Amino acid sequence: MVKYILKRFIALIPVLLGVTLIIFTLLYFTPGDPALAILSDEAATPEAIAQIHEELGLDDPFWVQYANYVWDLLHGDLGVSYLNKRPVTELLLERLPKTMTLACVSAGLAIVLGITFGVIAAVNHNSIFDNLCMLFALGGVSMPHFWQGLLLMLLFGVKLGWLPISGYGTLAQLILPALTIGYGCMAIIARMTRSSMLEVINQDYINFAHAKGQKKFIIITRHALHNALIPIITTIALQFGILLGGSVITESIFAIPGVGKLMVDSIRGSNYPVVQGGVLMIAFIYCVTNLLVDIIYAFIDPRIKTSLSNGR
Amino acid sequence: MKKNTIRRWLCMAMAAIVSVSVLAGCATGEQPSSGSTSGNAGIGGTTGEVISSKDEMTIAVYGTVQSMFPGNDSKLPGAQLHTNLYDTLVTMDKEGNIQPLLAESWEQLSETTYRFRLRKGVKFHNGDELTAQDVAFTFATLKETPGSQSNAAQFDPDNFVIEDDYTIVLATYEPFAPFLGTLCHATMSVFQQSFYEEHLAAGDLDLVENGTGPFKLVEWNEGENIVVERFDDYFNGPAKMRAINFRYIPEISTRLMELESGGVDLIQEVSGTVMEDIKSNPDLTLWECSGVNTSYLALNFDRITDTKVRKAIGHSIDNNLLCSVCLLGAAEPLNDYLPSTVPGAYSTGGFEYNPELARQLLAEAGYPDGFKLELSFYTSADNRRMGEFLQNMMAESGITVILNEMDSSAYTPMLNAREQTAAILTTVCTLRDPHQTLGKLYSDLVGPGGNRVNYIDPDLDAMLDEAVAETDSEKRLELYADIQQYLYDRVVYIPLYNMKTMTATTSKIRGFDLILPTNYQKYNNVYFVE
Repeated sequence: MVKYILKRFIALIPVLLGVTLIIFTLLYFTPGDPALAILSDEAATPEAIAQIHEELGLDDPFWVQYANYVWDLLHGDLGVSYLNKRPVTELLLERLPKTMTLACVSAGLAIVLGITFGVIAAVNHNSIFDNLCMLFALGGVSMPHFWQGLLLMLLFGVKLGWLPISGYGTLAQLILPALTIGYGCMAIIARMTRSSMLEVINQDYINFAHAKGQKKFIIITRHALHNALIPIITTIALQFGILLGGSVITESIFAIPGVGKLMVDSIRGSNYPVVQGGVLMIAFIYCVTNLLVDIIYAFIDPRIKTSLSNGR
Repeated sequence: MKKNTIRRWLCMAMAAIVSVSVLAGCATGEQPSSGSTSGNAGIGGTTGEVISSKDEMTIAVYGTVQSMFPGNDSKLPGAQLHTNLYDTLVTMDKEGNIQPLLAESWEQLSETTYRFRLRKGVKFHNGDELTAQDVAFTFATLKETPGSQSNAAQFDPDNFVIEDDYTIVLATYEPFAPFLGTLCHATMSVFQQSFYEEHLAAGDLDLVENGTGPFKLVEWNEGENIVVERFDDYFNGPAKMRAINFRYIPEISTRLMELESGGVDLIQEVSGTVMEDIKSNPDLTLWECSGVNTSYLALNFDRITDTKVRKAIGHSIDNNLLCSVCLLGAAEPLNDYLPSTVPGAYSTGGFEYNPELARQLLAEAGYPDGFKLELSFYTSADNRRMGEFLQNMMAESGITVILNEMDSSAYTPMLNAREQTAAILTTVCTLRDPHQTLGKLYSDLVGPGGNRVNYIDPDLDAMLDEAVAETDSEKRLELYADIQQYLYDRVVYIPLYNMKTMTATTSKIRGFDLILPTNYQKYNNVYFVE
């Protein structure tokens, strides 16, 4: 198992190098000029643009720029922001905890409610509960985040005055954005749980458990849900990976200074080092999340553990 | 027992009434003390309003600050902050007149030299005194700094003369009439030489400040907020607010809801879509004034040279309808080459909306079956709406508009490469000098230089040269009137609208006004009432 994890970590290196090449190439050839993003229209004279190009090394050929970037990267340096010369690592590490907190709270909410609703819907298949749960879930997948966020702000912030509208720093400020993101994720998890549970609860071993006279609650949680978990965990992991990359729209609406908002601001401002650093970090998070999911699979399904231990 | 309790309550009530009366009597007829550093509570003004003890103000800003160094941040969100952290040598009042700020007086010595006498005792935030050496260093440095060199291009640092600690002679290469106006620009803020050199060497110049302004930097959480606090040694007296929190909230809907719920006290960049919400809310105040913007339809001379076609396009647009219906009243129709807020604006009569005339002109130009026009604009809700609106409106005149919506990062390079046929563009005349807007039309500025219509005309260059060098203000305005007529006759561009400057605040704010016709103001006189 340890060998397997080490192997996976080593495999991360070419993946991340590939990511740097792709993102560097894409940004290099994307129309847009960092100098124009830095300067106002009024200040963007050809001389000022040329001076900024020289300062930022933007006149160097593609391969020279890329080689410099990778060399710095291998020394643990993600570069500095074009705007105020702050190290990119510092900027990302400043934002990451905010995005992580929001992601964890949203995911927690989504997992608890999603699995609960999914199980209730599956167990009461084709009943009013099933329809109500799925209708609720349908709302979550159908409503755009920005609209849902604005509605929540209007109701709980402006009309009722119960919660702060935007910002980051207090628990109260987390509630509305977590609800906004969590609702969508909850809906996806609920639908996946329902369909996965429906496949499992019709299996022979479940019927056998019923025949044995096991309590319904035990059958559902220990036998059915346990065996239905693999696709649910995959869904949760994917959702969590997306959340850790920063929920761009929600962060912008609620003015949360997270990774998503930083990335959007940096893309708009052609702040390439920040975009490259951000994408690299998100890629790393995705890879690690996938690895964690694979490890969790092993704990849920002993067959997978055996195959991993055999090095397959 | 019961009698004693009642008596005690009565005594307390009497004492409270007397105290309030005495306080009110003391404060009658007084404006809130500008020198007070112990809060703002009291009863002020002749209106009898009770001044709130609230001494922290929260402003929702729409964009992020790039740098604390004014020369490195020429954009509006930066200017908004720098105006409160730094001072310029002179400033502009509401009418556009030049007023003293760090310089208490000035005189023009020759066509290219000006003597400024600095206020004595002006302190930087680190406690050091401002000297003429700092002023000379500031302008010499800004001339070499990308974000400010467009404004400082005419400065001639080699001929600056420091006469004593408080007197300096500044020079320009050529006679340059907009010189004093240029000094009012936020990127022309004065800084301290030793502080600059120290932090340039340390590599953190963009993260620190040491201005002379009414507020000093306390905290910068990038992408989140910036907190500034009152500078007690400000030469004009300490600000009324103890602190200001500039919160970055990019979404206008969120900014508005924060204002409605009391989370913030002031929001910027109010759009037409929320104007009515603000006006109908008695707890809010909408501040609006005419802007200094020239938004225009830039027809590329590389592609459309025929004046008749250009004129036809001009007559196919109803600026009034564009402003009232499409921009929802957030802009004023602009029929001339400069907005009326810029001294020297001249009425050419504009291009009257007349589809019949437009069709006739197109037919005369050889397009009896109509004309196809590709209109480029960068992605924004306003631009998209405007593009679709113009598409419908111009169809009445036989002009088929093909919309080309682009991301802003690709839009400017396209303009620089002169690849557009028609584009919606805006120039901002913050200096309120005709040269700032019309000077973009020099022949050598085509493409990346800012001459977005790519108009090359040596005669116009000569006219612009003459006007910018003319130091007799009346004569100068006449020259600019001639230039505007010249531009109108050749349909160099088609003026569309002048976006208003709009700010919304809580109705409890006092001491606030839109002095500068932009979205940045000094907040040292702001306070609140109950």
